[in-house]
Amino acid sequence: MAAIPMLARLVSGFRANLVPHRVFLWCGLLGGLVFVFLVPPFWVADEPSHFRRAYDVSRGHLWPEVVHTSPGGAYTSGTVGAELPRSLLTLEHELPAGPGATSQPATILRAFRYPLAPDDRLFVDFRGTAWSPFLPYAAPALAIAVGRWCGAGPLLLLYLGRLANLLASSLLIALAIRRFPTGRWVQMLIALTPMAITLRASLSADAAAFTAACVFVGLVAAASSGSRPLRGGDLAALIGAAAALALTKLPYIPLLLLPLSIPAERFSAPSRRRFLMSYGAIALAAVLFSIVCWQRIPVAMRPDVDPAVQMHSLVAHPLSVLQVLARDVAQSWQLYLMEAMGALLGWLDIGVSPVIIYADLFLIVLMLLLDAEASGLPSSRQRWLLLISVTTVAFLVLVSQYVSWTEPGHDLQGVQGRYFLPIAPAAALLLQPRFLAGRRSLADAGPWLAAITATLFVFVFLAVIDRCYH
Amino acid sequence: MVPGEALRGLAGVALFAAPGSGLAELLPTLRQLPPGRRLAYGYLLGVAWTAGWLYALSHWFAIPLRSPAILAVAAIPTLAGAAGAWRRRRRERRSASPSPPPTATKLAARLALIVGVAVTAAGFCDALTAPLLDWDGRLIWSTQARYLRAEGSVDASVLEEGKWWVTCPWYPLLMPVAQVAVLEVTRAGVDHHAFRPMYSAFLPVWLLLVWGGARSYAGQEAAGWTTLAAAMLSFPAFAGAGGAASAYSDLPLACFVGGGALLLLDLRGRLSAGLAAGILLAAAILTKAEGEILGPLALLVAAVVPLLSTPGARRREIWRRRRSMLALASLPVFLALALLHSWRAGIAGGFESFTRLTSWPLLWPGLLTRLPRLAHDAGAEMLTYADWGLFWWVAPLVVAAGWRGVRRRPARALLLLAGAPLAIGWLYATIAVDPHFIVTATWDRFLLQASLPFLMVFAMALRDLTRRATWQVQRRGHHTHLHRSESDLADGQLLSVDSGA
Amino acid sequence: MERWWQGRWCIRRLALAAFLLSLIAGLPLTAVRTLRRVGRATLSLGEDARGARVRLLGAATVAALDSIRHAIPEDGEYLLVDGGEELQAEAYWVRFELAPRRAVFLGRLSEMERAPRLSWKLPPAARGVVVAYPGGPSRLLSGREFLELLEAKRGPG
Repeated sequence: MAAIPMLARLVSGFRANLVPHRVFLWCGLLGGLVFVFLVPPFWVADEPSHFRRAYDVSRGHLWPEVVHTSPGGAYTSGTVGAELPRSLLTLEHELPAGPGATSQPATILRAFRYPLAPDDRLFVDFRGTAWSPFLPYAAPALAIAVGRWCGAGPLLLLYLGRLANLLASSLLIALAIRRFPTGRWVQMLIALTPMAITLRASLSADAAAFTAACVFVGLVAAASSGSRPLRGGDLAALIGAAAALALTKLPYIPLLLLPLSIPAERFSAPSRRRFLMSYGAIALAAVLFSIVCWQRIPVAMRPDVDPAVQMHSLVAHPLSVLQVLARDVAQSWQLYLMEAMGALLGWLDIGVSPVIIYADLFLIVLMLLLDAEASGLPSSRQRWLLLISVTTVAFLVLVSQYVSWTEPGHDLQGVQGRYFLPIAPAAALLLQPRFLAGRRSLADAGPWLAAITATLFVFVFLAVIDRCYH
Repeated sequence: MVPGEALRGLAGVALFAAPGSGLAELLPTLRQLPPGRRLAYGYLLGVAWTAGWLYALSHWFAIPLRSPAILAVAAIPTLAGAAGAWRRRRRERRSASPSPPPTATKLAARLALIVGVAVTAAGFCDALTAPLLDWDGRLIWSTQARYLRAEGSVDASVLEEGKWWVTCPWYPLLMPVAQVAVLEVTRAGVDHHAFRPMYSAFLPVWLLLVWGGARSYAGQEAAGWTTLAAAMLSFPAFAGAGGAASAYSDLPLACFVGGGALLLLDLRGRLSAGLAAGILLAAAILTKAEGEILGPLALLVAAVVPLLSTPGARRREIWRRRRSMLALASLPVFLALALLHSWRAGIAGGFESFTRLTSWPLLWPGLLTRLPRLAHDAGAEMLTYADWGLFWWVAPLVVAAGWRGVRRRPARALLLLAGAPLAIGWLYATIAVDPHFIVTATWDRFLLQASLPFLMVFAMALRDLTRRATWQVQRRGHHTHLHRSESDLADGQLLSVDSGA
Repeated sequence: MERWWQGRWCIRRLALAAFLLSLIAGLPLTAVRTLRRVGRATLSLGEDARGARVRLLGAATVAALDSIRHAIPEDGEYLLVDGGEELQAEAYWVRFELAPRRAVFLGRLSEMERAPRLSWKLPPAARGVVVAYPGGPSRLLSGREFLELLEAKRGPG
């Protein structure tokens, strides 16, 4: 910890006036680069499935193939995936990951030379990622396509995908942080939590979901405050961000209500009504598209869970389902919070010291109190809308896991803290109090926050090394 | 020469000039150079970047040496540089600052330009019309390039298996990779010498480095005369055994080491200069076996010699200013060393051809007993009119007579850098089983490797001579004027000596 | 003092004069070489790479190399024999022309001719023996033809 003041001095020596989005870019890209190469291949939750989907998208197949559906039942134990090179499966077999596994650097280095052999294909299942639209895989798919064109092997394709995800998400989040009218340091710290950065440094579609949510909430917050009237470009960006958010994961759709809180006086031409009509049409189209993508996959995630049965029980017995959800929240909210921060990385088997997580959380709370600008804080009406959106998203996350992952008659299963990460930017806006707004200048906070973040990263790196390589 | 084939050859030059220009745009130190020198450094960076990355990607990641990978590697800095140039021009248009007035060009510079353009044109004419006919090009470099191209990899089985007849399989392969890049992208047939213009382009690059460096150290007039002399040397331009007319790697090595060293000797210690120098020195390591010594040595000399030449208090300031630059320069150098050794670990035969020609026990007392013979043979090579004209007859006289100009601090580092390849050559000849053969076959090439730093020293001496030996100067006023000018250059800063230069 | 100063001044002028002289002396050589190359390029306008090879190596040499290339595929192997002396280096040039075909060097023909009579066994998996003759076209021989050539050159006894 004594290194933090030294680091802060070193950072401030590089550049004066470190603003939040710049600190985020430096820490996010540099730290993310380390995570890209330090976390062994497939050591992020569901990364094998994400890799297969990204590879398929890179070939221009935007929808996976559904095979072996049987008539009659809505859901079946069929399969959904695509014909992919055998070398992808060979790679997963050669580089085992997750509970019980360890990685050898020499094995990873050797695996770089495995050829792709794209014509040697077989049908590969990736049902876990088949139901979402292709947009979360756009950046890694582009990098994988370029890598394929250059003749790269499967492992290099994986790393190229990771790098593309990191670069694209980091740039977009930096732009978003710049747009927030208040609490930019808070947003930066949220985006630099161990969980957020690990997801961005992997092929996970959760990176795209968090990025889209951060950009969208930032644009809404910027549109809601400020003095100059909103221009066509601002509104077009907002609509684009909303469409992108809708095309990531369905439970986050309630966030799309937030533009309703933009005051009418912020609009000049086009009018608020015209904007809401265009916005509504495009957002609805995107939502419908996502629903269609989801509905295309009549294959259960778990063989012993029939989503249709679970949906039926939700509709038939809503109160008992609500009880199940409420009990789970009451018992596990702390766990979800810690997981969302990054207490359990990888396949929930890379444990980061709770001290680090609490320190990070303390810093976020501190900045939440201090980093408030009165002119940018949401009004009461906006806070109500934020509350409704955030709680609805949380509710939908729980319901989605009830429907797709919980065995009948059991407690809620399958919920992970990272699913709540995309609502963190909106939650921070909601919770930021007014009573300390503008009381303290945080102009010199940059070097300190950068130094503290870098120090926290080091502890996370050590945790990854300890788990993955020993 | 047919247009299609000529275009292929020139496209090969563009394949490296484009990414290099992009890199030069992104690095402030190079961006601020005049267009000619910027293009020269850009070309070197382009070869270093493209061929270096292809070497690493092929060896470490098994990426095939084919057009997609080649174009992808070349495209990255090209596009980044184009984007950077566009942004910069937008900013400049907004600020609308007036451009500096053009400086008057001296007669010597004009003559150097005319001769330089003429010999460059001659070199390109030869490269575009004639196939490769030189010794080492066909013996080693281009043969290796054909093996690499066939297998699409620097880890070609013909190099690794040891049972095939391959000469010097352990030689680093940067230039053969560059050849493959040109041939693949231009889809040239096996007999088309589309890669020859790539080598010819090193001659104007070398001349521009001589001009640029000499101008910084000695002013426009001395730089003009030095560049003129360099342009008129036959060996670098026309020799089929090491010059730009051949596929030897000596001229590229001279440009990489010399160019990198000149950037590192700038006492301002700019980070972009460090990065550019590091890339060039890394390329030197991957170009020839001597590069493995010359590259790190240039870094060491640039790090240590300016400190040794400075009194105590200023030393700390200079170190503080330069340490980040040197640290950044060392990163590509270490990466290149790692790549070279990693690649060599898979090559069969080790250093067999070297051990066959040499014997270390000959070192002592060979250092003494062979001295007269080696001096005679080396002297004979240097004084050959066909290769060097009268340059080596005159150069020692100029440097001796202009010794005051050589007393300045940068000269020490430059002399060390010039001496290093000659020391390697001397050592090689001393332990050689047939020293006469080694000297006659290699001494000229070691001279070429030493040429850039030596020509800087030559320019400094020439500057001193031209300023002191003017025909109509008054003696007393002349002394005062010269002493004041000496102190302007005393701290070795890369300052423009002539007003408005 | 004055004489010493004048002496140094003389040396400087002498050095400069020598330098200028060296530039003037180098001018004819540079001019000739430059003009020769430009002239050659002008004269060879319209000549493609193959034509240039034929002009410089000789039609018979190029034809021989082409036929050897046709007989041995690019990923094939062959045995190479130098029909001249080491410094003539013909084996090196033939190896270059036939690359990327892989060569196994058997040695110098003249040394084989002088060697004691042995039962020659050629390495397997080679597509033939290429004998590189300095100043003339190379020849591709089968194993048996090469052994017969050796026997013929060695003569009876």
